[in-house]
Amino acid sequence: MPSMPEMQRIKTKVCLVGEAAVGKTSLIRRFVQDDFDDRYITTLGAKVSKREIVFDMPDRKRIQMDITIWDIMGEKGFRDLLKEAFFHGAKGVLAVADLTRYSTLKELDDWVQGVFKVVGEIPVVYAINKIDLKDEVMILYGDKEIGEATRAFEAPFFYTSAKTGENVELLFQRLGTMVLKREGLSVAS
Amino acid sequence: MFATRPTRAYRFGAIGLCALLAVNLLLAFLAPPVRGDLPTQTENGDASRTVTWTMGTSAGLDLQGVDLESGNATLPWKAQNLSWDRPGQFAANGSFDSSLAADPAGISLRADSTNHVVDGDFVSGTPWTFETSASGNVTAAWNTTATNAVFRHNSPKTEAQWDSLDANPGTWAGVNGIPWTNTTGPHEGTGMLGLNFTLGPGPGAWAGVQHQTVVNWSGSDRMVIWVLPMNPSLPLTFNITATVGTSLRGSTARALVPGWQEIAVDLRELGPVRGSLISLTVRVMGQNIPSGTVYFDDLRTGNAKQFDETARVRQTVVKTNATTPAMGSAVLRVNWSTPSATGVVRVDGVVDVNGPSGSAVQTFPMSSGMTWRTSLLDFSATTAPPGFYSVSVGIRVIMDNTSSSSVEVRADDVSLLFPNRHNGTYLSGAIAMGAASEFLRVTWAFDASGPATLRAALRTGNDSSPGSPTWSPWQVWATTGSQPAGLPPAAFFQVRVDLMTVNASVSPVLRGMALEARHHSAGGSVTSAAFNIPTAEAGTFLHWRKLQVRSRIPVGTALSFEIGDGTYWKPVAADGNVSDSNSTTISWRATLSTADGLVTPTLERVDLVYEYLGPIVRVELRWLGWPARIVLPSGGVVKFTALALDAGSHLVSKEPSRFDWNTNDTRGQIGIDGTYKAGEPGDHIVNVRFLGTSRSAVVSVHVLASATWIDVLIGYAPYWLAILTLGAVGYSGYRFGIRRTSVVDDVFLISKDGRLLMHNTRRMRADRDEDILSGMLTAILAFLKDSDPEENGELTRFEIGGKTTMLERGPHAYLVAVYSGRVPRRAGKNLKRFMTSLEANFGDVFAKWSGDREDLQDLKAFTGRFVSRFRFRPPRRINGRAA
Repeated sequence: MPSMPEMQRIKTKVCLVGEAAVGKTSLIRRFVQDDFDDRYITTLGAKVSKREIVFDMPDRKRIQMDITIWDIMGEKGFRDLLKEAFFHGAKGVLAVADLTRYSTLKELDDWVQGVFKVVGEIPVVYAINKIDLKDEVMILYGDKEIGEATRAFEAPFFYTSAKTGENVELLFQRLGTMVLKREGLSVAS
Repeated sequence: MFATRPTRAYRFGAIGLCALLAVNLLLAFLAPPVRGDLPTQTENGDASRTVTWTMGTSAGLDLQGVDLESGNATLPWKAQNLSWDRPGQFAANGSFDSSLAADPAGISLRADSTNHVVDGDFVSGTPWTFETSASGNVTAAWNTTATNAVFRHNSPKTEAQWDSLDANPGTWAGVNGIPWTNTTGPHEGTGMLGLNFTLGPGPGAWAGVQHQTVVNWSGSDRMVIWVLPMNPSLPLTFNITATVGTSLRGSTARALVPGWQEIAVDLRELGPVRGSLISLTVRVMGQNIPSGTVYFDDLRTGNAKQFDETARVRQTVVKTNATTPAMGSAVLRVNWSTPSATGVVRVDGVVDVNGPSGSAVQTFPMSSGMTWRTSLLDFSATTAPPGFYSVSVGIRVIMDNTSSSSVEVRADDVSLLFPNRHNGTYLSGAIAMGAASEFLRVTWAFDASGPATLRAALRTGNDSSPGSPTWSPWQVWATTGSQPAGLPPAAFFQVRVDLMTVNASVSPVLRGMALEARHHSAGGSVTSAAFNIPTAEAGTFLHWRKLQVRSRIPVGTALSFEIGDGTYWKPVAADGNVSDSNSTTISWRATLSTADGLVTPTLERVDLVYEYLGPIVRVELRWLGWPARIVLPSGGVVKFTALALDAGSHLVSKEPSRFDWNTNDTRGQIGIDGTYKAGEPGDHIVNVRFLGTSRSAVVSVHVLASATWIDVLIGYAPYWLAILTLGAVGYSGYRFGIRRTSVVDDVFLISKDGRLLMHNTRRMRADRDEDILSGMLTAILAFLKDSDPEENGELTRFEIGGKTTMLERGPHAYLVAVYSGRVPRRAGKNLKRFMTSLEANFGDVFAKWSGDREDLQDLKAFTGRFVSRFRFRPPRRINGRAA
């Protein structure tokens, strides 16, 4: 019987940012451990949930990453108010835009820059949410615009759906991998 | 060699082997099929059953964006074709060199449309120099009203009528013909002098009219006369002769054409002295004209106006780039009009572009009354090198006339263009395919022939930075049409098109590109129809145990599961444990996704295992101190509990009355509640059987011979031990109460960014996830501090839920202690001391903590000291450092 791989545990913090009503909270709801009511977001400005992901490392080690996800209220004024406290120590950014509103993609630049001002440059992954609506509403932007928006941050992007869960798992996997890589740890391919 | 019959033993062996194969075949035939459309149930033998779904067909499955292929659910290939058939699509995805231009026809090399001539429309006239001809006969000027250049010549006539020839009162006599006067249709005046003649076959035959007196034309060098030969008297020539002194002299013969024609005769051909011309004869010459007529009219004499002069406008232009000498590389355009050009021999337009390669003059005739028209003149051959070029536009007037002359030529809208097409390149950015994709075929549409060539290229890569190590070399095409792409699969591609020409006038044209590609769709799901535990089994159903799948999840893909009963969906943990689900209706949903369009997760089979309460398969006995051996003195008592269990160790019953209790201790007693009182010393058994079954259990008991105090002590050991334990606990509680008036339930040590460094708790397990709680606590404190900095900035204590929470902040972390009961007054100081000690020992670790718990190994014991002791005393040394 093969021996159990050695397990290492790492705690990390990521921020979930984006304009109001792009679907941040809904996007991750089914994929995280969520002990607190969503009303904390509007009263406190943020809510913390958690996701555990196990990564296989090349040397038969395994890393369990305990990710606390800080779901930040999507009001810019609020971002400026409490950014120091909420962004402090973040190791990654999940940036969410609404596929049906181009302005939400453009605003993400300010959100990500806001995080960078506090913690420096950290891995960013873009989630272009509400892909399930692509056949129902007129989509005013696509790969080219998203590519331009993400290029400066070298951020990969995924089309996601809070409704179907499409690509949400991959979001976490990709961001976790990028955070580990930044810490000098390469995930097994 | 003869074959021998097998021995009997071998024959039996062969028969046995055949029988075994037959049985295996039969079993294989009778066994349930591996693949089924609807879920199948199998008994596991441990009071559980497995419900299995396979992916053979879509029956009973709801497929959303998922295909079934070879018994697997997979993400289907999705065509990702792309077609750029308009220049705008190229422009939107990349950039052009400045030497490229796009129009609806396609992308081509841009002709330099800059007009190098300044003020070509003569609005200001400033850069032009207006050069009148050398002798001033032709002028060049700027027409400020019409804003153009105007060239003029005007001169009066120098001739006078010498003989109108309206009548012939004996002045002219016929020679070889008969003169007469005709008053019908003269060119001038009221009549004309006619001559009827006959010319013989010999050469030199002529006829004419001869003046009857000596003529003095010493003051004139030209004679001009109108002549009308009548048909069919041609060919005829015309000249004049006269005798000067003793010599007969004549002018050069001029061919006559039909209709009136004005003929000027250079009288100098008659000699320099023309004061006494004898027998002046006006002649026509020809052969074999039996009957001809010619008319003469309006004979004039005068002195010729003679010149050949050019006037022009000129400016210097600067050509900065070299061009090819091929046709089309330099084109001068000018508009001309000629309101008048009469009384002259000839007027030509003259254009010159003079530069480093020399002069290139181009002339062309101009006729009177010409309205505006355009001349396009190619100067490519002499303007290839860069440099200064003198551009001039003008007219050349050739004059040899005695009549009045009027010339007016206008020039406007002068331009000089050097098309100067340069090689150019279109380069797109990194075009995202949405996912890693296979590139199948590429179709190019372009025009390139002769001096124009086009090279199209594609390359692919897996990041948005073309040229990085993930990018392939360029794949180049030089021909149009659909061709295999031959590109490595990737998530991005880039287009490069080089347009080239060796003739500045000719350009290749890129019309379009189409790319056929595909990748797996990003996600999809398979949802099973609801499965209901059969009614007959519903009564014994307990709960679902686990979900297990047979799948393949390549790198870059993901497969997640949820289960539900139609009213909810919840994710299934990675280990597949679903033991918290106890609904008799269940369905599952698998979500397939990939971030790598080249690979797909595959789902082959889903098993859901549920447990049920099965029949009793065994009975077990329990007693105080189980499983230690039972030793008791005669008269001692043991209370047994019997458990009836199924194959899955589920408890079916422990009701004592449902068991039949027996012992072989003849003096002992066993009650229906399982209480055994020892009797006869020695080894005995206690037997229990579940009523109505043969399931039973047996345990041995050892009964001591006499009830000494030690025997009693041993026999009642459980009770003594319990009393002693209670006493110890009571004493400890007493000491505990003495030492503490309250307890620390939880100690949270939290980094400044909200990550939990350590949690020590006295409770068995936390109510909420400690990492989430730490984050929320950090968020709340930040909010409080921001909302009222003065009031909450140094919040150190608050009450909530009947407990007291105290805070102590350090440079890198803060400490949260949750107390039950009254908090001693020195708690704050104690907490501060603890925090100081923590920072002293672990401050550096906190500041650089990567999140790895290994970095905090010593912290657990350190915080444990705080929780376990009423008052914290720092250790002497931690990690080799003074505390």
